[in-house]
Amino acid sequence: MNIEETFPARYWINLGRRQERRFETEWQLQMAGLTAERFPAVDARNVLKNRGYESAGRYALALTQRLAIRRAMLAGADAVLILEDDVVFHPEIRERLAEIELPEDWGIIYLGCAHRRRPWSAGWGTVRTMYALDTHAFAVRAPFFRKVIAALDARRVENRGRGHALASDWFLDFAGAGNDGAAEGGLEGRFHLPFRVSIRRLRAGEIMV
Amino acid sequence: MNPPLIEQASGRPDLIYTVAFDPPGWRGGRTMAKLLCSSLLRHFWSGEIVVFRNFPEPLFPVERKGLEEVFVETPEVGEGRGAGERCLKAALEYRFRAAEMLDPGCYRWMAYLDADCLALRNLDHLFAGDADILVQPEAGRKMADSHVFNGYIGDDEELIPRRNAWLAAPGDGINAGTFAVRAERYAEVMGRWKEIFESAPPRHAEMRDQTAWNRLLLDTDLRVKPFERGEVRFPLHLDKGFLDYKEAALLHFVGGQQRDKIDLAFALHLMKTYGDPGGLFLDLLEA
Repeated sequence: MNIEETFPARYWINLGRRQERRFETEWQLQMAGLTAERFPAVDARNVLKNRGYESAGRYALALTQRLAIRRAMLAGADAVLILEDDVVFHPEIRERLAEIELPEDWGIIYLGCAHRRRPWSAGWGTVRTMYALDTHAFAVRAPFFRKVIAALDARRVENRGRGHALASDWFLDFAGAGNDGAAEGGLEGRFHLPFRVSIRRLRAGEIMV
Repeated sequence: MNPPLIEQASGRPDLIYTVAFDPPGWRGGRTMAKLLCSSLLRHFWSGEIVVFRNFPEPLFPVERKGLEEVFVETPEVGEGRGAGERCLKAALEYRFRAAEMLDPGCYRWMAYLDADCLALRNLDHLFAGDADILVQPEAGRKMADSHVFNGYIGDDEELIPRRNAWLAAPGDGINAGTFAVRAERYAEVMGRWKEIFESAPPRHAEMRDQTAWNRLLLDTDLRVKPFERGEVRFPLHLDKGFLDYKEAALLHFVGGQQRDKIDLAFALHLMKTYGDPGGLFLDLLEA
């Protein structure tokens, strides 16, 4: 997998006032040899209502993710990679990704996540998630842009009562609910690359399958 | 045509330029410009800075990397009664007249900041995205209702932006003292601004340059966007609470007397660059 070809739109989310995180992420990207565009985050201080989320911060993050996906959609991108500004890259991320061959039907890819249920193997270097959380580094493919945007809206009738609105990353599980038969119309493929590309300072073993 | 998905590094730096004009015998403009430049440098602005000044004394006797001072003569300012007003007028018009002295081919973004601005943080991140022009609205001050914005808008004219619908709703006036233009569009935008400015306004225009700027933004086919929300604030005007503006990246001291601007800018600059909760700098000064 070539990261630029697979994810033509690449954004990293950052609040203007978190300057230290901006500098750190710019450094991380430079060291990893990656290019991505900073995407200004919605500041929770400007959020008047939580709109179904547990806190203004959670809602602000979900809103930012929706805006980023929408921008990729408007730009006609085939897929978007979204990173948060505490991302830590594997020192050989390019080499690791180059070894991966993605399934054709992927919907969401996590470059690191926390598995809540045991995933299935999906080929060399990838697993298919059954229940995974975290949005510090994930990608969405174009056919699923609208579905993920909708899943991020906690106010939507079909999203109520599923608990996903407790945290802005739970939408990932809800969006893929079709995979384990809980609901129809889930994302056809959600995959996780099981190596330490990035995770919030956790050790590699914590996300390995 | 869609903008590029990822803006490739062009290798060209961004530019911030400002105008520091003082009437004879005054130094306020110089002080403000020095505070602005110092704050940009202290917060590691990665681009270049150009200061146009109408006095021979340099802002920085020792050269600063990436900062160029350009001495220009302003005979129109003259001396005596009214020199202050004439000086202000000359400085405001120099926002677009400076275009004749800048080479857009050298830059990626070209940003103009009034001399009464101050950076509280690094500004690199403000100049990004898919816009051609970045501007700062004055929230709550309607473009159609105020003489400082509507001089080139007809009495009964409905605000219908040619491309940028957000300008009409909520319809806030756009400040002309903080903006950025993509370098490849800079000459075209400044030329158009000058054309509008030199045409007769349909009604009283209190700040003719700014009213012309608002007309330009309504009529342009280019993509106009506001700066990142919360990053540019007006501490003496619309955002007077300290907690409102202390986290901003850039402050613009619109309103107030020049002395007020200098006092507040000086205090905030020292707070950001030398201040710490332990009071080390204070201890050094007061040892």
